[in-house]
Amino acid sequence: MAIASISGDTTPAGSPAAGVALFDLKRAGYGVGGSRILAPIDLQIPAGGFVALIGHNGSGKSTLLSLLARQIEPSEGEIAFAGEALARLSQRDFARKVGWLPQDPPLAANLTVAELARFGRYPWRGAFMRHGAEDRRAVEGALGRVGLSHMRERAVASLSGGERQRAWLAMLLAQEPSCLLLDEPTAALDLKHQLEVLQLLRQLRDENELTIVMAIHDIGMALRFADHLVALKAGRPVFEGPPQALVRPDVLSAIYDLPIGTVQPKDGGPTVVYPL
Amino acid sequence: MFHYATLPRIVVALAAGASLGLAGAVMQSVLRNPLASPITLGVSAGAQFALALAALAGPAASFLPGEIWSLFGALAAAGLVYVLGRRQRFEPARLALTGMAISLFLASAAAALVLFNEQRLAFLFLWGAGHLAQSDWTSAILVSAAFAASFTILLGAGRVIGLLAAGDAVAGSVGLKTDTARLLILLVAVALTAAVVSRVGIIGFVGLAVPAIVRLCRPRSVTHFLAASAGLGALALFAADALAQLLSELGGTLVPAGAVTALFGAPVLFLLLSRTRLTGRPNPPLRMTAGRFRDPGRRLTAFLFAILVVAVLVALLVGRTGTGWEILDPFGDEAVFLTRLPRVLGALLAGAAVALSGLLVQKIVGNDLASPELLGISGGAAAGIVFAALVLGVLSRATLVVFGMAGAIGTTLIVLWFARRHRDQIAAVLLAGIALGIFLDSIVRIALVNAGMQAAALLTWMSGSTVLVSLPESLGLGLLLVIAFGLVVVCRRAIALLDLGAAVPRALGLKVRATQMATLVLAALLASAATMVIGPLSFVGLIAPHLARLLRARRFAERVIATLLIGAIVMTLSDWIGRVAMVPWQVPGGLVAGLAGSLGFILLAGRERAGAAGA
Repeated sequence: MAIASISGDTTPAGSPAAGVALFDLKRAGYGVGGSRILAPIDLQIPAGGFVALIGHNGSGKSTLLSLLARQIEPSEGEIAFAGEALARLSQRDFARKVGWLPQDPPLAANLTVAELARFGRYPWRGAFMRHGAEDRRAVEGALGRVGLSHMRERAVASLSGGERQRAWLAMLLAQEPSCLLLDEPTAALDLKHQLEVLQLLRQLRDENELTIVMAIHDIGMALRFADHLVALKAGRPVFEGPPQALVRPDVLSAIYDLPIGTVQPKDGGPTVVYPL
Repeated sequence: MFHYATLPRIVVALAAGASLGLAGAVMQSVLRNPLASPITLGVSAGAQFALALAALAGPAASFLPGEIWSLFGALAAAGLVYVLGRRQRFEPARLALTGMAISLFLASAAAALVLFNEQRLAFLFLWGAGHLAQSDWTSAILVSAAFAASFTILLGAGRVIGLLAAGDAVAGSVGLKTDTARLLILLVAVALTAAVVSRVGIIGFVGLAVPAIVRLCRPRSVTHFLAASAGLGALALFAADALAQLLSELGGTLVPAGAVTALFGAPVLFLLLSRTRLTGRPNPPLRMTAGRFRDPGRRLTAFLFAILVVAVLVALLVGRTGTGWEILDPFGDEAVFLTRLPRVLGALLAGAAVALSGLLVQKIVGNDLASPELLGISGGAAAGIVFAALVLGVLSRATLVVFGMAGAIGTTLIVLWFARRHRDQIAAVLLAGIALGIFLDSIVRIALVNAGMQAAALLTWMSGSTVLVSLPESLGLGLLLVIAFGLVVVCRRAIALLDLGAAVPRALGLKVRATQMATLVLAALLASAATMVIGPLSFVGLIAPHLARLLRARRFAERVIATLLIGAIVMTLSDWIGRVAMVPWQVPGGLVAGLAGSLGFILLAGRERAGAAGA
């Protein structure tokens, strides 16, 4: 069983800006009322990386993401963002740099797609400052990026699951952050929409040099799109490394407590992972 | 003495407490709703109102005993709640709100009856607060018999109740006719409640709090749940009555037992709620059919403004005397015009203020079913004012306003604390608000029972008479409203973000807590200032934002303006109707608005199907 490596030198050489840590967790853990949900963890998220958090239900993926997103504070240890202590950043400064999408975004029953995207400008303009040309550009750009420009006046609640997910992504992009934290962005989507969203994320990473950290259940998708994987098990990190290192039956079996096999298709397609 | 007063009183306390605990537990089980109870389903209010009517009708209604009239009233109210609730698939929060709306409607109507028939209905005060004094064995025997019969039936039907409590899907799949079974079982519970209400009046808290407390102890089966609720109910009411007698003797004031159950039940319920989490249903997965919004834009504002102008002109100029209608010439009859002006202005501004307060409260709690009236905020203001007037002997209206505000802000803080703890669980927040409302109402009732001469004046005020409003007061209210409106418009982006819950706005850099607190203080100020003018029961705070939503005012700024205008229109017209409807008497405007508003809400609630969009 591979134990989580402590330092950032497992960062795959292929990823851009290798070695620069955007998030740096030092013995950061989280617990409520005596029970530990996330054991103290040392972890570095490389800038420009596409990191997938995998693990069974309740393994601490969402908790780790919430810690990174500052939705909760670590009960021990500390987290630094771009070299600065996370707690020291002001809320709006942080929101300009990091966008976060919860697993189950709120209903937004009364909003159009464009209005939702415009919320992404709040970190830049706050409650009082007027929205200018720059803001409009950011919102339009974000809508175009997720392919919803033609639906800008539609009600968010009337969209299909995939469209709705992209509308929320548009809000995150309008924030113009340097990092996206996504909690199971594909959980409610069918295969086609899963691919669409993940391809979009991959493009964003490649073209805009965004750092992306996402929790994801589908191990096949994680292997295919992420360039760095972190596996959690019962609140502890059990693997960290590139996809190639993960696709080994013994490693996977240890993560999921389940005999797992892998197959490399002959036509060169992505590796298939299956329970035995 | 012991045999004819003390002993029957003990028996009545035990039997009535057990009955109410049992009825509440049954209602909560078969409706799968932690908010169900004789009070929240309108059953008690229905019984009370029917009794008041029967008492008023005198000999004409005497061919049937009071218990039967009480049963009719209870059945009618419960039937209405049931029919409306069914359309919403008994969604817990909406069902409780519908029931509370009907209760408030009936309470307003009963208050109107009392206002005009003080002599004959004065007993309703005392009796409405649940008084257990006995002079013979009639009540004891009747309530005990009703309890014994119902208890036997319900325990016999324990398995059916258990299945219904497990959900319609399960119950239906094993071959139970769920609708029929639920109806029959509720019928027993309603009849039991009616019997209790007809003998001892409304005892607020037992039916709601006792089953809630029992459920927290995780009873093993439905039978245990029912039996334990009955047992605890008996104990609770017995203890409350003993305490009430003690307090009455010590203080020399009359303290009804029903009020005591509320005084102590509410804190207990709060304590328990704060230690647990209600299991609520998740948000229904919504997919609205309308793909695009049709925003009415400026037309709506212009339209509402025109209506308001007409309403104000009518209220100022049209009057009615014993002989017929008359139109006032503002220049010819300045004196009358000048006496009407502050009153119309006061009603208009108070309506707008409480409407805006309602909209803000809905944003804070994150649900369109909240309102200052239902969350006990207006009740807090009323309690503060009554306390100042009766206990401290304060008479100046300016000082009363300060006490009202303190009451409103205190109540709001408690409710907000719940809203934060039970995020997305409107049922819990409402339970807290309703509990608080009953609690405060019981304080007011104790005060009124003992107030004597002042009671009538206070009651006039409580039902929202605008007669006393002076011009400076109206102007002060207007100033507050202008400032509040300005603040809301300037901060609209932050307040609108509250729609997205707490987590996402925080991720966008909004200081969620600070925004909530600031909005809340503003809402409490508006509600308490308005309560001074139109009383705590106007319902405008709930109905105006609702109407604005129905008129498709969607964007926040648009909705704020529409809500303000609608609140102003409703209150101006209500006040005018109250002035001309029953010449030479004047019906308080707040009472008219309460009647119209709760009726409107009941109709709206019936229109909306389960899963209709909120916000």
